[in-house]
Amino acid sequence: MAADKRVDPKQVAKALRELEAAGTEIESAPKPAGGKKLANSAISDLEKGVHPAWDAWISWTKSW
Amino acid sequence: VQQQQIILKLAERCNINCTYCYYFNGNEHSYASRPATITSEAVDGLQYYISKTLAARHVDRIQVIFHGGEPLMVGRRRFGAICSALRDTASEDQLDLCLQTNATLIDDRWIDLLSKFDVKVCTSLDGTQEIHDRNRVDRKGNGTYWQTVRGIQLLLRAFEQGRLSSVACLSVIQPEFSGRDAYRHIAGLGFSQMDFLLPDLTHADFVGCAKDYGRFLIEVFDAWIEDDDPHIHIRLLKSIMSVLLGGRSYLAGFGTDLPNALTVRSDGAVELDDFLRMCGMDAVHTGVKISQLDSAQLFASEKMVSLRNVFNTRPQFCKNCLFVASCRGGQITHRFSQANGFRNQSVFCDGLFDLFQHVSKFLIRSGIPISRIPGIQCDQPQV
Repeated sequence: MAADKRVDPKQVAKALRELEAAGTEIESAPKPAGGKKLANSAISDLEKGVHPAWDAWISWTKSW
Repeated sequence: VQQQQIILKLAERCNINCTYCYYFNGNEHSYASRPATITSEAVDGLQYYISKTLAARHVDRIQVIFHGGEPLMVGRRRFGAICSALRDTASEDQLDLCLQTNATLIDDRWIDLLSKFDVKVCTSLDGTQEIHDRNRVDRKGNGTYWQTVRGIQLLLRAFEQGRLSSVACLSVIQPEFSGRDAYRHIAGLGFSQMDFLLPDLTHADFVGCAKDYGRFLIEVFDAWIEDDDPHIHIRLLKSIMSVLLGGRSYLAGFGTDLPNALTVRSDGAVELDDFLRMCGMDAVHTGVKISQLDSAQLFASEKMVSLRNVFNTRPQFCKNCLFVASCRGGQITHRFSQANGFRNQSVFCDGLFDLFQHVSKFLIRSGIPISRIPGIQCDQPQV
């Protein structure tokens, strides 16, 4: 793979359209999404700065 | 630096022979010229370094990760003596002891030791027997699943009894299998802390299809979402959610956090973060022994400055990507080639793109507007 290429703009634009469509879907026809507890947990972790279970450590890739 | 991780090579040999091992079956074979188990001088040097560094307040806490090879090959008696020496060097709130093990040697006597010195344990299991035995084999090529699971069951029982403070699982992704099966199996054994690792591959050795790795991780993600249990932590996926939402990564070298761990070899030689090893010995060599190490000097050294620059520079390839602010080009080692250094896109780029898009969709469908997900760079040229 050469170093001077770029991510395919068509792929990027398609992905963005899909994400925007997901946003429109939820606005126009809200329905209970799966994984609500996990989403809330991710937001709560963010507010706390780091996941408390990980004791404020950033773990090394090849261990925990 | 508030925290420092030291990867301590207790043993530079292993009792099994995983086909994908970056240490023994990778591009670099310096283990063969090192002592099989750590020398007393290296342990003394580490004690000296820890006490000096904490006293000078260069860091607040140090985490020593017992690593290998298989670190338990050092033997129970020496392992206990090393833990005891390290615990005598610093208080428990300043020093974490962790172990990365294949779990095949674990027995009740090992658990007594790990419990006595409050060693956090992380095991290696790739999934079901079929998945695990594909690559994690002994020297005769036989699968190690049952020896591993026997050790894991002892560790998890000790965790449930409160004798061990942490027992986690690392799994190397096998893209020919189902991510859902791997996740379900690991969670089913009783792990609540786990991660799925992209294999240690650079542009020199990557073959296959990056999208298959993305598909595997998306399957893990979907199964995890179905369970919807916030007590189950999948580090990479939690990190992706966090960096998309503008937070930090929980994983060194991925997203927001620099790989700044140090490796101490069995002879006391200090090297940079072990995961850079697949980019060649030049990438990690420092020429310093742990007893002589001045961490402030090392972190200001040309090599560390250059590593920080690499980490903070995105490849040109990523410039117009939706996820450049969160993915940041993936792990730097996955970008490496002899010809271009770290200036390539990740070998896993296509898979990471799919995964970031999938997780973003989940966040949006959970009710978070795209405008409040800073990890998505929306101002892309439309085609």
